Amino acid sequence: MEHATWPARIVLALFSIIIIGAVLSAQRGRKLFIRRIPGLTAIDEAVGRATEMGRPMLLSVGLGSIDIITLQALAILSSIVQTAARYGNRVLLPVADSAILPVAEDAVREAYTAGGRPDAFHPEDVMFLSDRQFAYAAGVAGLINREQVASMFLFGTFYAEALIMAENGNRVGAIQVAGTPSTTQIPFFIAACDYVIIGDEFYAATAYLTKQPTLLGSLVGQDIVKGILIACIVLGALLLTFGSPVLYNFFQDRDLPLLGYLRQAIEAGGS
Amino acid sequence: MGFLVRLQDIDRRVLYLLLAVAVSFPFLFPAPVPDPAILPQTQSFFRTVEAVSADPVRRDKLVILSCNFSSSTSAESLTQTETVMRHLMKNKLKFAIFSFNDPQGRELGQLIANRLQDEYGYQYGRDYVNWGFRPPAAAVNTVKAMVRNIPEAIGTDANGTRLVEIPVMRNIRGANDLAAIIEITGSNSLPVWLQYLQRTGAGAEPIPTLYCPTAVMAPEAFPLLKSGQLQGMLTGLKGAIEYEALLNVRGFATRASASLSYSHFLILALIVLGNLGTFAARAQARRGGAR
Amino acid sequence: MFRPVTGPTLWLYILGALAASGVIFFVLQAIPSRLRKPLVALITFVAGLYYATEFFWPVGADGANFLTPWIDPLAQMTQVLQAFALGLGVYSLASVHLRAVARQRSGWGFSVVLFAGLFAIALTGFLREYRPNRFNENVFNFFFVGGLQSLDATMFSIIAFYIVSAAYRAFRVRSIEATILLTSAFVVMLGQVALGQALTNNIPNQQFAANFRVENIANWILTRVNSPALLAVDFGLGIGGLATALRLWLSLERGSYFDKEL
Repeated sequence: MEHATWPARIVLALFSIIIIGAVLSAQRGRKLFIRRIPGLTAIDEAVGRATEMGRPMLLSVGLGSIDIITLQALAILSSIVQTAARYGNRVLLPVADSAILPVAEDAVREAYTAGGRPDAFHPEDVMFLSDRQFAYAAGVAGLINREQVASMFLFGTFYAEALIMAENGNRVGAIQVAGTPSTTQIPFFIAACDYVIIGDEFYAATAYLTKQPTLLGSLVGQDIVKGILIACIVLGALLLTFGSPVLYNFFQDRDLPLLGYLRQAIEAGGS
Repeated sequence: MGFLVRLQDIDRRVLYLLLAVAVSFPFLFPAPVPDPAILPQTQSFFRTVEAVSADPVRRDKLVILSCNFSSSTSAESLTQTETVMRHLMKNKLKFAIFSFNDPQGRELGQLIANRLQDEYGYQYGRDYVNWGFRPPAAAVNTVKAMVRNIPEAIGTDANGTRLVEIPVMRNIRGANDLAAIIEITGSNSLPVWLQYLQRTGAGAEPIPTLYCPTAVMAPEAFPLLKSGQLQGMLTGLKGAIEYEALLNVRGFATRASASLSYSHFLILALIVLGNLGTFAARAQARRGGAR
Repeated sequence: MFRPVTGPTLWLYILGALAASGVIFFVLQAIPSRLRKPLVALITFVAGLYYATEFFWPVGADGANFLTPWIDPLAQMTQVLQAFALGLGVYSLASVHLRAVARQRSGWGFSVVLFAGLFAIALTGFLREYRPNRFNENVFNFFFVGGLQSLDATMFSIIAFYIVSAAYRAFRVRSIEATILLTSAFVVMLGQVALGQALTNNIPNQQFAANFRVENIANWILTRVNSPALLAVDFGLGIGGLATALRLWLSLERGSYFDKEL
């Protein structure tokens, strides 16, 4: 499926409108609340520990290239660097994708500036190691052990290298906070890290850390969309159980009277 | 009590040594291990290959054996390749080795084919072909082009021979001439087949798609089995062990079964010991507090 | 859509592309800084709009719409841009390690090894490609198959050791949740291996009794508990990804790219 099916067109358009609507509503000053996320509350503790010990912090955005996950990870890490900059902490950010390097360097520089310590930024601390998975993992493991990092933040796309990095962090006694949409790696992070943010908390992290209206509004939109999906799942299951496949057929892109009519009307209009 | 308390914090080097012994010992001193239980997804994998072989139309078509792995996951992926290729050769099915994720995949697939071809009377070009490697960036376009014209989309085999000149490719044009897709992988390469090839055949039924991921990746694929997008799955080395049992052969997977069992039991034992240590430490602390 | 060209036309195209790039570069430099953010936002929007429209626009019988032919050239352009980024990566790597060698920092010998490895594999790779003979093939294989592939496999196998130490530390009876996690992990691990399955081999694998066989309990946990949980996580991630993509596409987000909301 390289192009949208009809259900995808309808559902994605509806969800996008809801999310954008919630963002605009929040930007107009609607007060919003976000619950406590333990993994993110621990960030201050981890930064504080690095300050106390006078040892650097290590950040990683994993193996992802320039995509939504990596950009979100960089936004989270920017907030962390900003906190670290206030205390003058040294931050190491090894990257695995050279295309990410200038973006990461820029993000860290701006975060140091926003934290009021542009002088504490060292460009060589944002470095490219290798785009080969295990060469990168070996490089990061070496960095962790040589620099004896005090805290580690692993946010982004991770594969098998996740455990190599987290276990080495554990070995040097670093406090570790991790968050990844790579669901296969979440169990390894849970086993080896102190705090793990799971699932869409990854996308909620920037809203939680910055409390920006745009991001909080987006979260509200996401929750509404999630509510609709849950309702569809429950309703679809009930309908199918009682013999009506109408909702099931809609999501399967099978012909439905209303959808067939809509499809014909649009295709007739387009031609 | 002091000894028990120490169990909660065993030096990690001791743990590593114990694992090295648990993994290597069964290979040095083979010990019998009971036959594994065959899981439903392994059974359906086996039945699908059997069904393709039994179908007079499908059995003359081509199976794609997609080797999208590198040497790093060879303990799982290479073993899966060996056991699956055995089944294809045993049933005299024609297949094409292909890789679009890692260049090592085509070589590792060929390595297994070289090892097995004499045993089953297979001959390169006549019974199977190696399409070689195409870069990941070109994978989607290549697979999309394969729908209509495989020889044109792939061009030449791993040795540089044009596909149209290779006997096994005779009568193989597009998606309609594919008997099954078997994806053996250590990364997220399955969606390319599911999105761009699986449902492009002329019939209402999708091309049977079988999946051999590493054990870590398997949980993500269970919904695909339930939705009918996958017709079977071998879960890592364990899946290969089950498949060898189904094929009634004793290959590397069966030999590795003891190693897998011992290492799992070692982890379970260590978890029990760690918890004993934690309990002992708590009991000691309580007594210390009472004093 | 685009056909490969050769000879003088190719050079003309290259010179034209260089001239156009130069003009764009100077125009971008000349733009006042207050206009730069709206310009970035506009380019982001137009680029995103193309992909969104191409995805949503109805397609004909050939599975393509009027925007589809541009997909491949755009993908190739992206690849070219990423190839330039590789140069940045090598520059970063070289500058860090050259400095280490020049100042003889502790462990500077490893930096020398890095350069030796970098040049050795690049040189042998070129020789193998452009001067193919048995010796060059063997030298390349020595580095690539004997060195790199073996090191890759070694790093991956190290994970097994780390899993043991991580599992040993993590699975402790600390709370109800941790105990549930421990118990389910215990059952799944037993159900994964022949020796564990043998514990319940005496139970018939039919009808109701089959539910008590360890491999069936493990498979039930994986397919009926773990798998739906993963799907639920995926739903949340998909929606979160959509929201983030929308915010970036419409430049609604303040982050490292915009210091205040646009």
